[in-house]
Amino acid sequence: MTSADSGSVPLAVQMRGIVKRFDDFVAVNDVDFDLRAGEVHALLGENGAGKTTLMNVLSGLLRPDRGHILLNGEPARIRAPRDALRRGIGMVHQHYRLVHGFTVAENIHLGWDASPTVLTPARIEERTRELSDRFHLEVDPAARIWQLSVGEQQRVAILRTLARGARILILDEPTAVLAPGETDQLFGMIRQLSSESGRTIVFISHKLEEALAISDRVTVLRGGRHMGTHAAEDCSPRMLSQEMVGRSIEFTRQREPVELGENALVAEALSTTDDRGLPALRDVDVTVRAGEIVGVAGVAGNGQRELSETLTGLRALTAGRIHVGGQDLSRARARDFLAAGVGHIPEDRYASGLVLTESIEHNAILRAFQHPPVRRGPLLVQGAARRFARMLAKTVGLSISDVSAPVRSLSGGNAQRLLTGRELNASAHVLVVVHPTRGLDVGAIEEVQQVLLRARATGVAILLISEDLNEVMRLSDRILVLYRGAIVGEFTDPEQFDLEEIGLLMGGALAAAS
Amino acid sequence: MIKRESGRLGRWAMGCLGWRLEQRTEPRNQTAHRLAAIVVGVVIALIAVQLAIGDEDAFDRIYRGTVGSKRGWSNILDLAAPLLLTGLAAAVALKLRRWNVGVEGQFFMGAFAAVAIAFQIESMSGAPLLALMFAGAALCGAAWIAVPAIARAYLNVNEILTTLMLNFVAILFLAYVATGPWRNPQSQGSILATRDIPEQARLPGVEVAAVEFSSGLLLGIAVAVVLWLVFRSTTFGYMVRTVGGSEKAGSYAGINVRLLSVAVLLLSGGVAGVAGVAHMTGGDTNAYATSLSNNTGYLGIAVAVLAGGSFPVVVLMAGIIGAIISAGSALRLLDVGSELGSFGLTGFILLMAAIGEGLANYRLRRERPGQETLPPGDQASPAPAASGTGGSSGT
Repeated sequence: MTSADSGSVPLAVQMRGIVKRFDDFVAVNDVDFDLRAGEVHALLGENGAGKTTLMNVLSGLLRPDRGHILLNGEPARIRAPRDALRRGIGMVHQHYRLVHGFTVAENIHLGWDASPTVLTPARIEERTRELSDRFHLEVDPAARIWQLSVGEQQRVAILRTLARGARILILDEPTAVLAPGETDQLFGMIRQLSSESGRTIVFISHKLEEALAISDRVTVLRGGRHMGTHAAEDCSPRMLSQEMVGRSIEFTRQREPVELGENALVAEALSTTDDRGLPALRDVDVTVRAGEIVGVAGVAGNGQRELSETLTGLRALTAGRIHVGGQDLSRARARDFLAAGVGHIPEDRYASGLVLTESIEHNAILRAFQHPPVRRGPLLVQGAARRFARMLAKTVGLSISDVSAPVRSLSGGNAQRLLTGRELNASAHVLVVVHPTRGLDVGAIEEVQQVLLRARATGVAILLISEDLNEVMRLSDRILVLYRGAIVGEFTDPEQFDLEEIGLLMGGALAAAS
Repeated sequence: MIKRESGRLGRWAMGCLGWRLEQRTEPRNQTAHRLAAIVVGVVIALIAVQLAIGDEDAFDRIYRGTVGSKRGWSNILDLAAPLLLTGLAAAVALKLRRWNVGVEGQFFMGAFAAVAIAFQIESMSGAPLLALMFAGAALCGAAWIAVPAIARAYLNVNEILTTLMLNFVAILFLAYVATGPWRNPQSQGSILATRDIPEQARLPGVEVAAVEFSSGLLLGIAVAVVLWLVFRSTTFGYMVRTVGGSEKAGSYAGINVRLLSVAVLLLSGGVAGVAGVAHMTGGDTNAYATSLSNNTGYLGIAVAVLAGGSFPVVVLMAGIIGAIISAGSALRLLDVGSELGSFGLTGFILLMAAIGEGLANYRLRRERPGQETLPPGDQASPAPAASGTGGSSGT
């Protein structure tokens, strides 16, 4: 189980019997966790396995209900992130907590005891440059955060933590928002920090391949419990996935061949602007036929959101045409798209797709309330609404007895199940799907993907926009690559999808499409 | 999730006593907390009255001026009626998370429309005239908020500022009207008023169990019931709840969020206009006067917030605030001024309610020592309770 074979290497951290509860929910249950000085240690588990909670305890953000922590063999009480940092433990959170309007230098020096009393831009930029050189992390001290790519922002967050003297660096899902190229850069950075500057690194992830690629040792958590710690070279993805979910998952899937139908969604020369009024889409052509899944690959922020919004009537076009089943919807609004049979699984399901303050029933009828039987004249028919919600809950296999319960009481997987079911129910012809499995655990991911494949088999045209390249490759019949608002590549043969080539195109390396 | 914790000093002090404030994940029943806060506020206020006045008679006067006499009851009900309507007006806007701070101005403009109709149309009387006055008041109140409503929806101009500033315009407009052709030659001093409205344009009084009150109260209750039904069981209400929960979800669901936002604010202004005419034509007031409102519009916002935006609770809260103001007025007969008494009391009780609101998100827990297990070598000395770090496990 735990590394009794620690040998001569001193243990930098020993967490023993850690328990953390949130009311009745036990997030971390009697977990032991060790870190050897200088190692890269992957902390692996599904969403909700307790990885982040355990590390929040180590970094002082949360206090454990039970258990204790030894640092270099000495008992230590860590009450706040400040305590943890003083002892050389720093965490880079999944959301970097940077001030977007500030420069890189200002963010590095914000709330830092060692900041000079008189802060002039020149001075802190100079200090930032020194830090950047010292840790070999290239940043532009004068750039403002909003101007940076996600990968660059991450580098700033890591540098900020290192600057405060972190010897043990905890990275929470660092690859979640990165492109393949950026991930490689991050891995290079991690290797360098570990080998050259002797930093200890905890790498939180739910991606098996990544964990194996970068780490010396792997610890698996499941349901708040410690499942095992292994040397990375002794592990296979299959064995780790079994520990993570308690069963092995299919890694490849035979997709049923489906006869393609008419062009269900035709978008020609779409152009639009983002919220700041800058061009976000340029001359994008997308066609999806009935029974086809077209995947859109791309690094977040290259026009995916705007594409999904224009194709569902939430954002106006500056140029171009949209036809759904022969009907011209170029100037239509969201409700016209809905009426034309276009469903939409939005990326921010808790802000757009669901009304968190309301009940399951309220959310179930979100697409049906303007039509009979739920609507009768100006009235909302409560009985019909309830029946509709119960029917939907049953269809999607939601094991709840009471549809008047608040929707926030649903787990992430159940919420997405409800949303997916509702949209499939509403969309006769076309489904625009954005990041459908983000933040879900392995079981729920599998289920949502199955639902999409079944919809495809019934002749729904699906546009799948996802930042998970594996997902796009697994589900799509065709793949388009979106880069800076334009389609830069198209891959038409599912047998010949090339991860590397798609990754290159996503990263902006212009190449001819296959 | 990160728990917010109380201040260091407070934590230390409570830790010494073995107690700890802990944030609730799901807040408790808000209405119960608000009522409890009001009770605490009233008790402390009564103690303050006793200390300030030191007169045995004070409590008796408060009692007789409020729930202890028929006249007291009718006072309360007449004060509650306009508060109920202004409270409903503010609550309508709150359903969409909008702040109509201009209830006061719309109240005056509603009363203006009513008085104009009453003076101009002398041929009508009774129910038709009153109906026309109320319709005019609702339209005029809605018109007074139209510009802020449209500016908010289409230009994203903060409605708190625009509605508030229009209050001052409304009050100056009132001063203009009250010094113009409708001026009451008898009015003097700082209070400006028009001549009395004709008798046929007044709301009839109602008498229940020998307690007399204006039928404006019944009207207010009827408006509350109608609003409750509309927001509960129409698609309009459904859309408001959706957009109130998340504007993005609203546009996602195909709702015209801007139009809905304008409609809800117009409704809010309309109800505020009705409040103005109900107050002017019922109760003791007889004319369109600068003393008409007595801050009813602003108090209505407080009523709506105390009621958590719920229409049925607004009815309850309007009654409670009405009683508190009556109690303040009863003290006028003593040395404490009426304004001072009622506003002091009301303000204090609102403060209590605000504190209660915050505390409703926390619970007190008894800290039990020695729960955090210590490293083996340290086991001999259990953690002192005052440390405040030990987890008190589920009790």
